[in-house]
Amino acid sequence: MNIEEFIKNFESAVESAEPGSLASDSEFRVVIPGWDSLAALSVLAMIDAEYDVTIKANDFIACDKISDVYNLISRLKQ
Amino acid sequence: MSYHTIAFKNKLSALHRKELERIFFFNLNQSFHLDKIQQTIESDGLISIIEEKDYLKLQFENNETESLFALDSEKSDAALLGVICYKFFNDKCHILHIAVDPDCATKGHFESELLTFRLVEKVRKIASDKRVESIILPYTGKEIKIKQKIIDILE
Repeated sequence: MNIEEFIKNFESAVESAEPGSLASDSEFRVVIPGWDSLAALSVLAMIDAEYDVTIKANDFIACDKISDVYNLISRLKQ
Repeated sequence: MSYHTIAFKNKLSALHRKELERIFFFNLNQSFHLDKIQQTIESDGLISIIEEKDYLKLQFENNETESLFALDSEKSDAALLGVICYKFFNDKCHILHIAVDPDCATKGHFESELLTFRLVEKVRKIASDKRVESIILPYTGKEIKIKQKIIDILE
């Protein structure tokens, strides 16, 4: 798992995210147009499918940047 | 983090008709998903509010669906916070529509109550009892495995 691959997967999970529009320090709620709970659910589904890690919404909402989510997955996979 | 208690009901008193219309039909937050909502209407038919024996239910023209309503208490004068409509088809639970009060939506005053996640988690539990494989999210078609718990809240 690496951050570049994770960013691509994140962009694929959210339809309104343009490919190449996100970086590790992107505040996804701010920069992704129309970000809402359904977008968050799509990301949670992607994380479970791609990384075999279940992140609960309670923990996900505490993340501001893409890197926060990535670090959370890394911690949970250890 | 503590959350307010939410009452989930599969029947809604007819007294809530105006609130239901406001959340379901006149909700500006749905504008971002307008194209996908249109597709849902094309496949499942128009949605109408039906009154039966003093209770309201949401009915899709072409499909038998189930609804779950979220209210801010068990009291008779409780406020309607949101609704989720779903159906079971081919071992999957398809969520057709979710509508929540703008105050409870993303960037709303009560966003931290995580209402949409709680509604989907409730449906996941119902679907889990019916031994379906996964939940299909509305508008995006993304799939959540039935074992994937969405949120940790004791309801």
